[in-house]
Amino acid sequence: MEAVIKTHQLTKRYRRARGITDLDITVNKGDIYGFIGSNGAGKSTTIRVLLGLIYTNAGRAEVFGLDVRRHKREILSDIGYIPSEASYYPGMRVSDALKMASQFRRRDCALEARRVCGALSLDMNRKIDELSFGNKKKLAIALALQHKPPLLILDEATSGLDPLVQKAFWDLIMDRHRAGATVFLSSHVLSEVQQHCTRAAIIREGKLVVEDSVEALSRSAAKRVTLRGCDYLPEDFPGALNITNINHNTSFLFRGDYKKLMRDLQAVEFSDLSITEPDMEEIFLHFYEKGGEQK
Amino acid sequence: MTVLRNEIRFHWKGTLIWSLSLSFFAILALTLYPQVANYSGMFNAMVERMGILGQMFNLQNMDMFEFMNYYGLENGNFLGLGGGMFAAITAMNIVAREEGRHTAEFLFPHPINRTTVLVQKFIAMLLQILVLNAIFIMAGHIGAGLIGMSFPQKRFTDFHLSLLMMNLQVAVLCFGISCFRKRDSVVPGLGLVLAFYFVNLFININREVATFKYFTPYYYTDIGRITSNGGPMWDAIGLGFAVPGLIFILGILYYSRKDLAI
Repeated sequence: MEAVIKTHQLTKRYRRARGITDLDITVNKGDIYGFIGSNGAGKSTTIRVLLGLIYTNAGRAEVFGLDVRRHKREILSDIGYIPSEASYYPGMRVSDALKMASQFRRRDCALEARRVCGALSLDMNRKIDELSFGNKKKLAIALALQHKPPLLILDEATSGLDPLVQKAFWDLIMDRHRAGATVFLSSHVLSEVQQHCTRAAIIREGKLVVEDSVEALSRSAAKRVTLRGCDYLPEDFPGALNITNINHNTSFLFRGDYKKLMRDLQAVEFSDLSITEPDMEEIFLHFYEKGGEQK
Repeated sequence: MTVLRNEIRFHWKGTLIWSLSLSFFAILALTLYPQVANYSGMFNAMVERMGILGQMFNLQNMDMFEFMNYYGLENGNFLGLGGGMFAAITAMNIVAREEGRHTAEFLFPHPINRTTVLVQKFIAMLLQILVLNAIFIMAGHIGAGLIGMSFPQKRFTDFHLSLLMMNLQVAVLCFGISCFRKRDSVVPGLGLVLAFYFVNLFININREVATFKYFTPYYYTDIGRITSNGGPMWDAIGLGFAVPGLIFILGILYYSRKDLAI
């Protein structure tokens, strides 16, 4: 597999904040890679290192096989970046910002810019100062896509977008993905990662907790066990986490020996049992709150 | 040249407003010259009696109602103080604004290196200062024309060359400082301009501290000194640029390696 992004022991320390420590991630060509973590976990720091906005204390980051410090211009030519909160120069129109970005890239992107703005229902003649947060985000999307980059780096890209625009956004991203683009998506919206990503990494307090395919992550995490007709389960039930009881249904996350689970359940009153794959939220909580398996 | 174009587009209105405002005062001061000159004998006698105050503004041993001296005193203050403030404000903002207003996250993910951005911003700043000085000079000629006077060519050129150097010295210093800053604020720049101005007044009062003359660009923009020197005081100008030049170079080196605050 050809790695589009590869970091090795990447470390960034701030004076007053944590940053990232010994981060090793690999994003392969064609991946839609979810990068998940809570606020301050180090997601944006990682992205800023990849974009050359900040410099590391130790370790190495490569994009397209090139060192991000030494080949910044070549790398940035082929990246489309959507920041979590986009800021623009005052007094500009949407078309001015798009034109300015294409001038930086020395490419004529007018056709694709019109197509993307059309898909997102963004008026190119509007003044940016008058745009809502969501419309500014649409502009950020158009800026990231208009030059058809082979790598898209999206930082909380869908925050502030209504569901219809989110759908239009994902249609555009999936179009680019089908055309061969690799997508690196930092997100809090776990369902989005589960729905769209092929691989994912969970970062916690600046350190990588786990990196794998979304499918494997689902398998490796705890399973959701639901006991119907059950009103009570002791809090210290072996292997059970996050026990909840709603409408005579008791549900908990379980990871361990299922034969032993069956034996332990013989002492519990219930009418039906289901064991399902956890959703992304549960995977996240599993690896996050309980520490998971440190890599 | 995209950054340069953007800077000019962003700043041209401000530059024009500053230029026209200062030019208005330049013309106004010149149109008052015939009336003021009628009372020159009285004013010169007053200056002689002003003592330390006259000394502070270097008015002694100078006929302040000779046309070029009058222009140098009045309009030297407008372009010296006003132009210095304009240079400080422009330079303090031009780099730090990218981080202060978070546009660095728009600009720098594009394939453009930081030094190129700084060079284009520096050129944009120079152009703004040149435009302000050019408009002010034109206003000077218009004002002189309105009262039927003309400037002695060499002294006028020497004087404006010195003022331009003064504006540039402030700009180079503030541009360098701006590279170190993460937030845009004009206060340090304006503070420096005022400090330079008052240091010059201090030197005028106390000639024993003349070594301070290399710390303030206002020293070499004094019309009396330029006239006595027979032209711009290039030694003071050269030494005056030494520290700002060093801060400017260090600023550029620092900026090309710094972590951008987003």
